[in-house]
Amino acid sequence: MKNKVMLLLTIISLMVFITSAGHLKRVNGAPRAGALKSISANPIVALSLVMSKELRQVIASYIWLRIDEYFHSTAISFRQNREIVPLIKLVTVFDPSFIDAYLVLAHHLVYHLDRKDEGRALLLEGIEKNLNPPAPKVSELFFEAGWFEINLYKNTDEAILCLNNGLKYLSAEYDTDNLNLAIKLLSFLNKSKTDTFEVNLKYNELNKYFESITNKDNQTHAPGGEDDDDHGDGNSEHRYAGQNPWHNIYLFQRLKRTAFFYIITAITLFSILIFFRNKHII
Amino acid sequence: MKRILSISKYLFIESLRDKLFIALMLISLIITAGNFALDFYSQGIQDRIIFDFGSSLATLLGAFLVIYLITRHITLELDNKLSYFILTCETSRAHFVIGKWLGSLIFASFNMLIIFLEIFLIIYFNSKSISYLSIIYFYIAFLKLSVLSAIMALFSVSFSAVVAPALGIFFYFIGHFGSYMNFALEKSGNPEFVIKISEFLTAYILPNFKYFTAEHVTTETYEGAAAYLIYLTLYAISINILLSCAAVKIFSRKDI
Repeated sequence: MKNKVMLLLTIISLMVFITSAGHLKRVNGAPRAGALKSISANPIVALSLVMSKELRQVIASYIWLRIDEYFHSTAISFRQNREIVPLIKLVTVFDPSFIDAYLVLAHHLVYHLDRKDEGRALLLEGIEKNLNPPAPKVSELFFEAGWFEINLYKNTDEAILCLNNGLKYLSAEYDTDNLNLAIKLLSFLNKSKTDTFEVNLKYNELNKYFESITNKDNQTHAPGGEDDDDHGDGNSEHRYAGQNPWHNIYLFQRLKRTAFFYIITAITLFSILIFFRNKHII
Repeated sequence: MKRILSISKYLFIESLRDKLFIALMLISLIITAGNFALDFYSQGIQDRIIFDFGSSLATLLGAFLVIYLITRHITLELDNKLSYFILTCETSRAHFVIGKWLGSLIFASFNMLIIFLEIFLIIYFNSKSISYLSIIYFYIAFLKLSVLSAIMALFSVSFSAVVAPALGIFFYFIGHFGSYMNFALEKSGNPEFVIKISEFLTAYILPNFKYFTAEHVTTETYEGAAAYLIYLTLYAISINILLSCAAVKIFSRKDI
């Protein structure tokens, strides 16, 4: 009787296993099957395609930590920093949903290395990879693409299209300061079309215009979100370049937060241990 | 059922008294809590890094605990005759194996739960958002550990204390890199039937740990995500039943 039950259980489990394994194989294999066939002999791309998403994300996050260090702790200016490009590109290879990597690399290519076509192509690649289904922060790519279109190519129609798409895919995760600027840029461009005046402003003029708008609205930035205007003069060194990362005003605040969390963790752990001790478990 | 639960309960309590596990858990908690200092990155990146590193650490710790606990509580107890105290009373061999499997799984999941809870709280305090992904990923990691536990239970009753964990680790790695093996075979110009056999092996014979991912849960619609989770649960349960039955059958016939 016992053996019969076990046999029945095994047969049912085997059938469930085959059905579920078939479904999981189909679901997991489908998205990358086409990509695997089309890829070149690049071993990093090939490796990234066969890894699980979690593993790829961990690698991308680790590389991003290194990138941040190289960006802000070295003594060379942004304009000289060409070595960072393949490193950021690697992040986008391992994790195509890493929106910030696309934004930082596109910005770096355009404003520091004068490779504007590459920057625009990278943003389009990012949009393509994150649109189906729309990633929560895909709007940032659209807004940046809109900014590039008007700032670099003076293409008003394309910029309006990009900005409108950005608004279409807007999510709660989007930064309100950037959203405010994007909306203002869109209204400015729409107005420029209806009032038939050309948008022929240079970067600095346009920037001054935006600053005047934001000052009028009395916008305040969140702590840490200070103005990141580091690309005005390409030859000047970035203000954080060569600086010790520990010498910043947020260090004390950061350490205080960490200490607070460690204290909470320690209290919770001791409470658990005391509970087990009172119950004579340990 | 009562016997299985009491075996697993005593395994849990015994493991909790082990200073090594308490130290491991404390170190993991301290490392994860250290991520709280990463507030120089933008909000999304910071949450992401905390989740990525924290969940990897939790899963690795869980895998280590399962492999170590099952080897110690099945193979070593059989070797030094400690298991006779359990097996000479009314407890059957099936109860013994399943009880040890369940106890190890509960203890590893308890450790993992604490780390995931910490990740959840850090993200909550950091960005005031509820990380639903932590909850889903904990469930997926739990299923993954249950499969690893069943594999280890099968090896522990079949092999020695050296071979069993080595085989467990080997299958854990192969389970993650099965698709890479297929890809390597395809790119190195192997005949079609070799690739097909390899694909069949990695999908239907070897447990494929690569399926235990939250990728499809986060990128698909609610229906797609729910279907994926249901199939994943069925997959894990069916593997657990198959491997446990095999382990019980082997252990019943084993001369100890």
